[in-house]
Amino acid sequence: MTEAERTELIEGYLAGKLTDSKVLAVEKLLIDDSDFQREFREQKLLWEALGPSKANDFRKIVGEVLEEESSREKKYRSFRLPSLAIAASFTIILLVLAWGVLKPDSNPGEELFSDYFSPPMNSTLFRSSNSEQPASELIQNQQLFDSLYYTKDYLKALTQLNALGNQFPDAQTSEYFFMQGILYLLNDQAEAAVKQLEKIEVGHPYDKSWYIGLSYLRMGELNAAKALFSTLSESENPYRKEATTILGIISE
Amino acid sequence: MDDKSLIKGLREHDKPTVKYIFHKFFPMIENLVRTNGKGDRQEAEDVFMNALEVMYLKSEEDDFKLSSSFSTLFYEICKRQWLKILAYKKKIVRVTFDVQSELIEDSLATKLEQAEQYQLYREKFEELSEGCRKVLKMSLEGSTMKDIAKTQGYASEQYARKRKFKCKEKLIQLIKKDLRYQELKDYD
Repeated sequence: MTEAERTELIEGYLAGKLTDSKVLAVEKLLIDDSDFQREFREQKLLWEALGPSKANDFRKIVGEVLEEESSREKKYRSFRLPSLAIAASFTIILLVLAWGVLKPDSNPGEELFSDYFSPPMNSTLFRSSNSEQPASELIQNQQLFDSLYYTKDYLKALTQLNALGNQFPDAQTSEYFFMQGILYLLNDQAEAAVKQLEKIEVGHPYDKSWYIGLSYLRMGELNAAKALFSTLSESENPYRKEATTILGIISE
Repeated sequence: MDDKSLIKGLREHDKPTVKYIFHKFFPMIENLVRTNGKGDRQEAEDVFMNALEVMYLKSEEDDFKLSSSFSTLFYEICKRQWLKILAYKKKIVRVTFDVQSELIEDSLATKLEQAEQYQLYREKFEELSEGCRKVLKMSLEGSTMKDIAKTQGYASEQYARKRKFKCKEKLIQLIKKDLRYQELKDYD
């Protein structure tokens, strides 16, 4: 048997296209012939990795999601960049001018808050809602909220979110309170943020402590912040490194 | 969405579930990749894709049960994937995370290796010429030599067969030259 014939035999076997006698011949070769075994493994891997398999169909779906999210991110960045650059320039000028005046009264927690607070890139609101109303009204409201959040219109997003919670009480899940807390922080209302974040009961175990800790920093309540960052610095979690760094700074 | 729904969603190739997982975990993965070895978004996407494939392969098992929460396990797999990429790139990085070996039991480790093998095959496949990729893809999708010869404009089925054989040989050569090939155990 030539190499090409062996390859075709294996391909036929993997595709389920062989006659019973040929299937038996392949299975016998798999027991007796180590070269054939090796070739079979290579061919099988090739088939699984590149051929029409369920795993490859699944990868296609993941690929589609990644592409959609990536292009949405790019679109958002290109939209935001000019305004961000202008805002950044003004901020720098204002900071330089205000430095001398504000320095004696500045809250160290506030600076740390600015350095470390970054809101989640996307809202996951209502995707985990327990609401039994997949009503188009709820979906429309959710989409409106999503677009306000993505375009960083945080004040309108918060108003929209609060209105949604009132209209659909079932939608007030832990995810809801999480996003509400984030939005209060983005709207410079740290106390209200703490109140909402405290309501989180499931999910976000580390996010909850992290963002409440940041809220306390913003409010200048360093001892309360310290307690939360201390807990975060003691276990394996995505905020461990940052929590340890903040802890070091506020303990100085 | 609870862990059971996530696994069900993966099994059923449910796009909203994949989106949910992306929104929930990708920022964390991107942060992991950026802060440990200065990886970029593309690398974070690769880690996400491969880790999710491992979870998918595992979820396909009849007796599959999560040994810990979905998020813990998924994040652990991501960490491992990223460490492997860093090792492959020969990047020496002081990472800020721990690896919890006890979470990765034998069958999951096998799936990790399986996914890494697939990844290697796919990467090397992309290095082939366009013609070779087309011939192999058509063949894997069940096209006959006659169809391949016709689509590719080859003079005969015999030539299509020969070309396919050469392309496959080339692919296997590329795979075997890669350092990862030696490290990956056969999962069969």
